Amino acid sequence: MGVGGDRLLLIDIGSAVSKAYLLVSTGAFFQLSRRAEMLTLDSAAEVVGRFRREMGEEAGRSKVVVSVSPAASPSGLEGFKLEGQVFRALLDRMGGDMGNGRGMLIFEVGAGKSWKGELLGDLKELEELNYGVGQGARRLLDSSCESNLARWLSEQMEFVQIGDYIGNKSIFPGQLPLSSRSLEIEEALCREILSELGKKVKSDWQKYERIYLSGAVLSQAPDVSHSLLIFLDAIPFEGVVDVWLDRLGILPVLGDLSVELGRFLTPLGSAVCFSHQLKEGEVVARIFLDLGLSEELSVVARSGDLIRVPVASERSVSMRLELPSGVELMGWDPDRQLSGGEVGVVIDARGRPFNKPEADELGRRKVCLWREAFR
Amino acid sequence: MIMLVRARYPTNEKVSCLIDRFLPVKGRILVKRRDLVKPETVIGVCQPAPGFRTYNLAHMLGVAPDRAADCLLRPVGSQVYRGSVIARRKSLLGLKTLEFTSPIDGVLYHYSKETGLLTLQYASHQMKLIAGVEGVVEKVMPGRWVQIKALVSKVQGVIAAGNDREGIIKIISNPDIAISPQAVTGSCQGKILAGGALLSKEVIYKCLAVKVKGVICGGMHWRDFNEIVTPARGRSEDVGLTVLLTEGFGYQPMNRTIFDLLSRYENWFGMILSNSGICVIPLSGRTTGEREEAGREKFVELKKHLNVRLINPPRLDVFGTISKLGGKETRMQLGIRTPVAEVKVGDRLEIVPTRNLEAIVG
Repeated sequence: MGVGGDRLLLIDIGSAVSKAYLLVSTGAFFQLSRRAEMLTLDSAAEVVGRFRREMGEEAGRSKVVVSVSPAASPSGLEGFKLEGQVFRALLDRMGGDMGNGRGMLIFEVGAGKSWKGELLGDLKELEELNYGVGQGARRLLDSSCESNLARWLSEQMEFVQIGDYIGNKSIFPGQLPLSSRSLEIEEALCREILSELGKKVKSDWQKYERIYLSGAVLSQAPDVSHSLLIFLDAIPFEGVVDVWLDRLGILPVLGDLSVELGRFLTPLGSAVCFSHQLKEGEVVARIFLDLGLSEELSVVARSGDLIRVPVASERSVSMRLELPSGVELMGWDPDRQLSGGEVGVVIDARGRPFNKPEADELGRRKVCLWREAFR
Repeated sequence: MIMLVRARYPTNEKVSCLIDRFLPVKGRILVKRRDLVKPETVIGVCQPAPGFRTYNLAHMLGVAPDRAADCLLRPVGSQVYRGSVIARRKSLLGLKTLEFTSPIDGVLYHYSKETGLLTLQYASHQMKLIAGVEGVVEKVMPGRWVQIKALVSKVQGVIAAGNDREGIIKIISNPDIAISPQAVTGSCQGKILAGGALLSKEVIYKCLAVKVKGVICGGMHWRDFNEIVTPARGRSEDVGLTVLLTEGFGYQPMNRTIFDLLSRYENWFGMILSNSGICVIPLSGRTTGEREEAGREKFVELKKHLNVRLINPPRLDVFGTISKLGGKETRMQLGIRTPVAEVKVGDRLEIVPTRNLEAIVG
């Protein structure tokens, strides 16, 4: 869809919370002017009306684009696009690949449902998952168990308490976590859902060059590094990938609009994920990063390590590797540049296939160490 | 900034309410629109499908399946009564007799000469649906359901499980302690038990054993609740007991207003309407002039002095009053940016995301 006019009011009606974004044209591109959120009401028209009033006069002259999550069921939906359609439009608009034969993935973890979008050559696929971090959380727990969530917590917690938290979250899906314990449960839920979405990816990981992450838990994470860690824990990616985060939660409504995605999404950086099955502590790789300084930065990654190298956004880094036998970096092209971002370059030497931690003392120690690496 | 919060009406006294009464299977509705009904008025009848029981007759008589057919004293399709002899086999030159007597009233439905299995069908009984409330018939779906406008007092819960059930209300526990299995005695049969902060699995089993109709409680562990909702994996079923939770999952003391209302109506007839998550207590008298239930707001605008509940699991029993509205998004302790409000809880002030508030109205 071409963008007409100089103002756009984008409204995303989610199953728990609805959001509105007022974009204003600077002549060359659109930029975010205002943002608002509210609990989702029963009537779609009322949601739109309230947001219009909230945005004031500016919104009155705006073109309004509304997207509705399939998990939301407000009345008066005629003429509005469902979220899936918008994502599909996003995939259609993005074109075949990144220009080098590699593709991209989108993961969106919603409150009621979640999505995986895959773009690789002729493959343009959108798949829906009936799990979410709100109303959809109970469905996940029906088919999974609390121990799968408990393994991502840094403190011991009774399974029954985890179940109760999720049960309550499904009754009050708009509620925000106020304690680190609640936040950890929600992030654990997000990991399990992402992991399920990851199982739906059709091609080999190394064929993808970029990943977009979207959804409230990821967007609202207190620190963007949490979002990247959640991704690395949940998705068994092999190779090198650039990760972008939808911090504004705007991706579901940007679909068929010809606006530049990069202006609204946050680059987190490149993740370098080695494939190996070495014992804990064994050297996985010697990595030399050219950060544009007088000397290369040398890093020794040992099995089990998670290393963060801060590299600013819009900076590129070249990487040289010395790998012992039994270690691979899938699809690695020595000419490829790593990208900086809010987190930087992250080296994941925990091995692939990735052994998720157990819900025991050792597992909790590992979880704490990985978090510490991202501080 | 949009400051809308979900509204909750924990209790309502003497309000007019539309109550749907369903026949369990398609049947006949005996009332029409604008009819006045009393609680005991029969508004519909139906014939629920009777169940079956299967017996290995050949094995019981000690003969081959095809020979057991000759031992049947009645033809397939005939009526049988509890205690009546259905099949007989004489052995040892007629000195020893083996008999199979019907354990139920019903119909001799089928006998298989291949397997030796005899199937008896329970006698079907006509089921009468009573109005349960005094009021006026508003809508009728022929053969299916009746909507009655009635004067009621009611309790709004947050989640329920099981079919709609009715019974006499009995207070079983204080609002802030877990229900004890010992409190569920034979006197609870056919009743709706109310009170307590936690409904355990043990109490559920006890309730099923003594044939309690329903339980209204503050909270319950999600795992236990899930077992009642889907006892067979993935299949939604009714276990024979209706549960209404008034606060949420976990140990949740019952809201004092709800407990007080239920206590006032102890020994009254109540109905748990599971789909709506409410318990209604029908009152006598006409609905004219009473507050109308319909058209109530599901969301209300946050404003100063509004009574709210703080939704901050595991605690759902903290109440307060809005003392100040935040003007813009605020960064919370965990780093999440969100619109907030200042809430007076007892003698302290708390900054709470508006998304974690629920307005307590009525």
